[in-house]
Amino acid sequence: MNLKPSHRAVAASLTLVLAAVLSACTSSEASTENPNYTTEPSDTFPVTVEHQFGETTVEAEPQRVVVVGLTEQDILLELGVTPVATTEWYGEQPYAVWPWAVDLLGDAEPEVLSTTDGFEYEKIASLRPDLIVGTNAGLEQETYDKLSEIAPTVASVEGSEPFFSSWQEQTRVVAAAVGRSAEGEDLIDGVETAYAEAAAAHPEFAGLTATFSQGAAWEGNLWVYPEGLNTDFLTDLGFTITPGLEEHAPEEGVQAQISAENTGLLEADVVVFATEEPDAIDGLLDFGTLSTLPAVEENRAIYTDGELAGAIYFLTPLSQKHVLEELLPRLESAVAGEAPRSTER
Amino acid sequence: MSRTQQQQRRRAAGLALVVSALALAALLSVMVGSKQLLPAQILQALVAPTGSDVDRIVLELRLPRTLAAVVVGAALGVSGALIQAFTRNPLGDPGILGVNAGASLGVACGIALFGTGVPAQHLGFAFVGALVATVVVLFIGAAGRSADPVRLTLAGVAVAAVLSGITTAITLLDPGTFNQMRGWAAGTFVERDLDVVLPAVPVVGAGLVIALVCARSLNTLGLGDDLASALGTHVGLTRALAVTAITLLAGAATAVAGPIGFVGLMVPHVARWLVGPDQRWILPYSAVLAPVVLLVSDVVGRVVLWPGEVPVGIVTAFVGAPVLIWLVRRRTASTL
Repeated sequence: MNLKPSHRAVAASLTLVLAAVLSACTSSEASTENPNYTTEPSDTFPVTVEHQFGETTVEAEPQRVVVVGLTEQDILLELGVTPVATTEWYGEQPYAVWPWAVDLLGDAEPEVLSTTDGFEYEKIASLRPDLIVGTNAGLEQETYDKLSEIAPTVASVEGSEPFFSSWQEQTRVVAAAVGRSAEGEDLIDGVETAYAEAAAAHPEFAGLTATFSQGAAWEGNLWVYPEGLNTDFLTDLGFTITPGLEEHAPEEGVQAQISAENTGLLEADVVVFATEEPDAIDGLLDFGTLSTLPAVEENRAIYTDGELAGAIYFLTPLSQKHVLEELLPRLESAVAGEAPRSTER
Repeated sequence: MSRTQQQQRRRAAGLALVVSALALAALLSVMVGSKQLLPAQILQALVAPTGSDVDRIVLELRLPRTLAAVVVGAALGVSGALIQAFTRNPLGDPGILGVNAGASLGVACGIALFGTGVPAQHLGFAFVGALVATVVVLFIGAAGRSADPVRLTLAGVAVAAVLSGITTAITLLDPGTFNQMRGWAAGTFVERDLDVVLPAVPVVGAGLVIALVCARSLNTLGLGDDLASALGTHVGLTRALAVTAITLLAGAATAVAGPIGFVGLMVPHVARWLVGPDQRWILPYSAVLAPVVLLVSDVVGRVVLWPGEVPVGIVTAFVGAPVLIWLVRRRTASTL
């Protein structure tokens, strides 16, 4: 649609009225009849959620949840809430739902939004949402305000990074907004317990060093994760992140940029490369001196497949359980010096 | 001693000076990198390597990279000088005959259709793309006639526009190719091991020889076609040779490093400024000066945004733009 701004505003407000009327109709019906839910809320509506742009009150159990962030569909689906729209991050998975969440999606066919040219406000409005979830959407005051005009919008908590702020906090915000805060806590506990149990079952991991690196060099640099930046999946299992990497991060909170000459810095007891396809391994090992890195030569390096890499990057309660399932056997082989030079385990 | 003899001696001495600058720049390129190495470590890697990490960094990363910069630099400098002489256009750039656009399309096709991923695999596709583009440009611009520079330039610009349109279409349709191309299109010497550089050496060598052979004829060609013919120059042959050399040189340079801007444009100007309008001097000066510019730019790129490295193509663009402005604003631009 190529509307002038004034027309667009009229169209948007008309859509809003329509949405309000429709949601008023649907919310009077029993939620068990709503195909978007597989569970019952545990909180009583209206609920109020606090986040970095203030408070958002959700009057009744939302029936049409639109995800404008990159990963929140995982949280919603695990809480039994099927969003009417998701947002593509990368990977072009059907409905932007990755394999680990496909069973929970069932037959639902959410719309997939794109953020290539910013948020698709018109498309979002046309979906008649009654809740917009954007805890991992890099929202700013301006974009938050625009989305709030369409429907109540929740963002990440105060002081968080634009993207991939604490997954626990994101889970709490999303769970509270759909009236399932107790279930949200259960998800968090579930992940933390699973990691604690895995660590207890593998005392041999404790005190070993580990490096987590992207699976391909980018414009002459390999991006590697210093301690604290999406490395919990290793440290929670007892590993220590290889020290010194943080000195190669241009600023705090971003990946270290390891140039070809510095690839020796990756050396650790275990190195996890987030490769995304089998063919990528050769190209990766061609970079710098990686092919003679002791961890690579001594079969202590893990090469993930695209799905495991995605699960590590997604960093949701659901994806982390998938990480644990897929990575643990690989870590066991790597620690034993028997990791295959393959994305298979 | 006559005035010309004096001039010749000055130019020869100048060339020796530029060659020593090249040696110095090459030394710098081996000494300085994103990992700090002591001179003693580097020396040991060069004379008595043991296969350690440091040895591999010096022998397998810095030396091939330095060689790549020298080969690519010489190719870009000379092809730039040739194209400016050939088209009598002081703003001529090796890309003007569609060579870069052809190489880019070749690489995009390689990635999209054959799944190539590393520089060594891109090499052939880039070179074939460059060759095909030049043949198409020659066919359109010189069909049935001798290669008139204006027609060739127009054909080159038109073909380049079409080819980059196709490349853009491919990369827009396939995000994977887009990502791969972004890395290649920046122009860099990273991951240009000997298996990438060595195949380009004979191609560049042949291009340089052809260029030097037609240097003298290019001088007379600058006087206009009629006068050149009257002086005994075979106009058609000279142009054919020049286009061949340009394609070999620019094609090989782009195939190895990706498109690197401004060097082919800027260096011949500096050379002309130093030695005047004689192609027999402009070409060798360009062949030596351009690698100096590339080596220094590459070293700057390794350290300026440490810990990350900046692709050399971005550094030359940063250096080249101000130099270009300065060239334009000079009272007497270096004429052809």
